[in-house]
Amino acid sequence: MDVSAPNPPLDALMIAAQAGDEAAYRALLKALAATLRSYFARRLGRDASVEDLVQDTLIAIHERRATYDPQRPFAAWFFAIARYKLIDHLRAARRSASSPVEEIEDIAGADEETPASARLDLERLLDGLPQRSRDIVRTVKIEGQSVAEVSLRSGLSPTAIRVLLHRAVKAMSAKVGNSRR
Amino acid sequence: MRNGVRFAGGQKGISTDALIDTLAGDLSATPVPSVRRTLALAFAFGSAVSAAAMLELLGLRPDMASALATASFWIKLIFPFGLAVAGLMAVDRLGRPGAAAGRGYAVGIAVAGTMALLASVQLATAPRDAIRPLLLGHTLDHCTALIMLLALPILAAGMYAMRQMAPTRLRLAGAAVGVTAGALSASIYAIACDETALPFVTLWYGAGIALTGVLGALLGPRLLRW
Repeated sequence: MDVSAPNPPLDALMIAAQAGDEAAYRALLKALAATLRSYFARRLGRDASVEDLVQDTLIAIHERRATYDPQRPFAAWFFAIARYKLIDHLRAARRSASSPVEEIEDIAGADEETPASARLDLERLLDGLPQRSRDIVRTVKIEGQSVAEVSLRSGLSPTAIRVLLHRAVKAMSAKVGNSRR
Repeated sequence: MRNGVRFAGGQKGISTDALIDTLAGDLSATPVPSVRRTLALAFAFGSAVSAAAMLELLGLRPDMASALATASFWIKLIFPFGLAVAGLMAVDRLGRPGAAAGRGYAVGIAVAGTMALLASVQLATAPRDAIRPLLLGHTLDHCTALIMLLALPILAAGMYAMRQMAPTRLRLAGAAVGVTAGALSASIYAIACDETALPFVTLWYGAGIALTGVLGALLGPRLLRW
């Protein structure tokens, strides 16, 4: 690699972030969020899932940040992740024609008028989750507590809770999708 | 939708900006272990389990002391070990988004090609009635199966490590983990096996390594999604 060539700004931000520079990391994530938003919007159109996908991809980038090798171009790494997340999303969407995520949220958000059968469905979906995720889905999505409250009580970081929540909803939607097939 | 997802009960969920704040704040709070370290530890741990199983189930080859002086003992050890190095190079690359495994393939092909060449020379210079034992040896009924069996702990540990990475081609990443596990297992098995013929080793060690690779390719899409 040519060391005399100046690094493109994103590469430099990522390398600084890997060294623990929080400000650089924040700037990087902001820039990536904007890029991802147009990347996904261009491919999905005006789809409500674009912002979900942006967040999902940002979480993935955060969790897998150690797999970036500073000797290689950052853009290749970043777009490979975006593409992977897009394909994953399209595959899940094809499995069920309707949008299962919204459906789960409708079920979870329903109040007293919820038919008993929907409650049972929800319980069954929740049963498939690990204990910790189940508790988080219950407290945040059903009882409506904030992530910060749950974080204080459980001792888990807010990131960890959001990631668990995100995964749990995804796992539940996958199940809804599967039973539809 | 700039302001993010809607959560249950109509309350606003996390906006993307809030998520970025959380992730940035988490940067130094949760240090991530280096990818290479995770890989090295996992494959070392799997190999240790496999080596213990080999000693327990099979023991060292009976003629160990005299075998150390023979070329075939070392070739049998170095051939799969070379493939394991190639496999590890591929694993390191395939676990990173946007990277191709180029150099790993080249090393793997060079090692396998050299081995095939040595085996062909041995076959070509052997008398006609020695060819069959050179190819089939006397442990054919269990050699390949034992290599695959001893590869299982390494395969499990390798898949665990690959799950911490970010493979985007899951079948290929699984195959690379499988070949590496099979090759490390074959190196371990070589210490218990008293076959000396290079054609035998090329064929049946090769089969054990390749089949473990196939197993990894089959498991990849199931185990490695993230």
